[in-house]
Amino acid sequence: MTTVTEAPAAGVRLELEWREHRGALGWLTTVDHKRLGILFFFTSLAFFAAGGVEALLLRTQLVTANAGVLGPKRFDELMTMHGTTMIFLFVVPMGLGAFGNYLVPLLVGARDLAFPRLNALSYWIFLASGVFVYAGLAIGQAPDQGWFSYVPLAEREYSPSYGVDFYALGLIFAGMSTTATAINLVTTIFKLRAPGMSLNRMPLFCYAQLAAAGSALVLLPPLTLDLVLLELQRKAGFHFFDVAGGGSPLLWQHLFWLFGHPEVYLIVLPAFGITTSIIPTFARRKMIAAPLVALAELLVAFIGFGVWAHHMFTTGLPNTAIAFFAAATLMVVIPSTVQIYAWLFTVNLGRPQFKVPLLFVGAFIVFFVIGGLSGIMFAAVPFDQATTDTYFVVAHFHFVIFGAAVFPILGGIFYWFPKVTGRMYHEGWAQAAFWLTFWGTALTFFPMHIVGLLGMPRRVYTYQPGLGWDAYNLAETIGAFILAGGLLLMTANLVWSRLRGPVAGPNPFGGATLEWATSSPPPPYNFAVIPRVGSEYPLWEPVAGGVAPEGHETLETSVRDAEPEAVVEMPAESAWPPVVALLLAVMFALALTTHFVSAGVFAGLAGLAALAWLWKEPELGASGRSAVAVRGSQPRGWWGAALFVLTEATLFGTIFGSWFFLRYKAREWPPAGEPRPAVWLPLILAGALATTSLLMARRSRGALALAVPIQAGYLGVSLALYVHDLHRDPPQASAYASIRHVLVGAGHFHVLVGIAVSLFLLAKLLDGRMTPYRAAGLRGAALYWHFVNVLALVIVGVQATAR
Amino acid sequence: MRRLEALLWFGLLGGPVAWAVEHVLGIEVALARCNPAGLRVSVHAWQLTAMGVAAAVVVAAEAAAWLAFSGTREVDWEADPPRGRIRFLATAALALGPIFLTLVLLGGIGAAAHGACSS
Repeated sequence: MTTVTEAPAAGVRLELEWREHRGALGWLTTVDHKRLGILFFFTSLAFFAAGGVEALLLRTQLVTANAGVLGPKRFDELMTMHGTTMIFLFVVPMGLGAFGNYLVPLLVGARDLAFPRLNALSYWIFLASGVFVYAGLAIGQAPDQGWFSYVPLAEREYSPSYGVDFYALGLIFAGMSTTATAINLVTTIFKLRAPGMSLNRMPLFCYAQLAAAGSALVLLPPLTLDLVLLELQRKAGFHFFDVAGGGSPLLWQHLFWLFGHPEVYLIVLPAFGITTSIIPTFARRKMIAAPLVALAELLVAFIGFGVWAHHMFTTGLPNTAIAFFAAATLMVVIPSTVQIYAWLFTVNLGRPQFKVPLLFVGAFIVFFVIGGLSGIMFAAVPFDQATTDTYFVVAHFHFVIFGAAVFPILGGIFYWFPKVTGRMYHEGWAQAAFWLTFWGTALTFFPMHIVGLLGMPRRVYTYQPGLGWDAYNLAETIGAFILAGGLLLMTANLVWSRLRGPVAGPNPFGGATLEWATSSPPPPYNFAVIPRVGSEYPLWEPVAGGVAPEGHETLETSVRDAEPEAVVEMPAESAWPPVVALLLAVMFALALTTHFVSAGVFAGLAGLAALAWLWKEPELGASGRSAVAVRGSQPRGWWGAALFVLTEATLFGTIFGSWFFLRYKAREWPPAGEPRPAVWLPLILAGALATTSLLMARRSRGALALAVPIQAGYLGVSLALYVHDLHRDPPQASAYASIRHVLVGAGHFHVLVGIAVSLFLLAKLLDGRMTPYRAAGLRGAALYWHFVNVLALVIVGVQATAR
Repeated sequence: MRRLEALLWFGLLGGPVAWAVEHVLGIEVALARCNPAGLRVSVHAWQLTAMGVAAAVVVAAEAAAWLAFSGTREVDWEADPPRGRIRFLATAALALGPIFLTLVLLGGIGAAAHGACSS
């Protein structure tokens, strides 16, 4: 490593070190965050186009009363696909996958994301999951139960086709991609920031991405659990949601909205980040109240988790519970308002240039205020109850999701277009497209408020004339086509500009963050010299030097103050990620058709492929040849493991929550005639397993070799007890038996995974590939085992409440 | 510096954690009491006690944030770390107190103002 003052003319050497294959093979095996960001961008754009066509078909059906464009079944299918596509396959992967992937490493001054191959895996899983969901539509088995898939409608008795299964398994699959991306983004923001970029100098875009990615790690496990429970009920006869079996349909709603409401903030947070990037550049001044804006971005995500049941005010919840949700619904507005004032004052106090990116941001603020005001209204419980399931709700969430999330994305596309392509767009045509899109959006969604208050329910495929709804529906449909025209004009402009636009320099808008410090488009290594940062807006301040790792490397820094810790080697391109994704796709397809044994075989193959990939992965610690300093803080591999454990802890927290929710619904737990769970033997076994934490903490070859037999012994005896329980009290017996088997089975599965990881690490240690004290993998595995061991004790404790 | 760091992180995390615990346990107790299992606990006594404890933690966290803020009064929030970083985060932490105190009081008083299991 050299400092900037003695940096060699390293561009050519770095170009060779970081070069990937060209052509289709290069795109298939790439691990470059910029190429993967582009893949995420175009794939989610394709799904956006599909969701948009579905929306236009729905609006065409509703243009007049009793129209005959779509029948009720086709309408329901397209409506379900539209919602599912826009939420899961467009907005989230666009915000985190495309914008996060491409921009976060550039903004923090890194050469790639923390785990480049994991990044590639998350893209290929995303693509495969999207194809999986759309395969249902292609073969005439599309889901038609609505995007939030309420039970009992989604149960097998009322939805016997494979449509719900395509939806459920496809979303579990897609969730794996989002989780991997989120772990990568958070770790990158924590550990790969340029030296000097302490938390007070981190770009607000990165705070928004941190909030979004962090919340994704916590909000996806409830959805995953909900979908797994649904599939177990549909395919294996378990009872979670049916009252006759002791279950409750409200369990589905609680778990779904525990995911679904924070998901709204996950969707808008990247948009907040884009906004806080565009405004300072075009207002020519720093964001005012930056600490409060950073805080507000994190607070929106945090308080958003306390709002979930405001989607359930009509389900008969006790008022003593509703009061908490109403309070959170009111107060989540405060951090959003702080940001709106900060944006407006920054523009007002600056010298604004109203170019297209700033116009989109202005429109976003207008739409966000409208959508926010209608959102506050739902905190008034009587109003919420009166408007539930009407078009008023549809208007509200489209102003938030389309107006507030998509408009900044469109602005961001124009803002970073010169950086990504090296070309400038045509400003005049871009402004024309903006105004079409703006008025199209307003005309499509604003009348929905009125027609909703007039009583038009959502999800109806047609309506009768004379109800006063006709003119509003006509206006909405005209608006939808104007909006589509604006988006098409925008696309044409960008395609033309990519081919014929004037060449853009490195910093055509005079931006202040680090992505503008490198060429347009950036080289594969992003920065030959990683700059030393002395301000939140480093390009508006004097340059403070930098460091220049020499090879296929980047710099790892400390979490709080970004002090240099180590130069770390980065993995090169690989064919394993698409292979693993393909094997997982086959596994999900086999699970869909209830070929569970074959699905298990493919899961095993995917696991083996992942181990083969990791066998040749560079150490997740410091590069041996050019370490700067190691100050004792944890390396990025440990942070990756810690974030994974966070998602797992949330998953088990939701299983425990489901246990107690079903327990509250039952007069007897376990129900009469079912045996109580054994406690003492599992407790002794869990205690024995807990001793392995001491061994894992030693992080040595011998301690690991000693721990594995204890872990395997625990699993063997526990599985024998489990099989005995399966016969004694099968999961199909009642909701109690179902949730207990899920709880215990999930615990055993985690032990099994832990043993596989331990054996893999032991093999690596014996092969001499990894030194025990520097291996972040071993630290991560130890952390995982501490978690699993505590979990085993808690699982016994939870079961002990069944008496 | 360690004292300032400790005050800062308590100031940042104390309020959110107190509210989250009050929120989740408040809902759990209501659901446990008002379903067939019928947990034998006074919902109102629980909600008011939880509200009082949570409010006390929020106020203490706000005081800690103020101490961290005033302990770095000589620097700007863009200054070099660690003092600049502490100043930046303490400024943010100061805003947390009013928000989370309102949340804690709204939730607790709102719950206590209704009949235990009315809906």
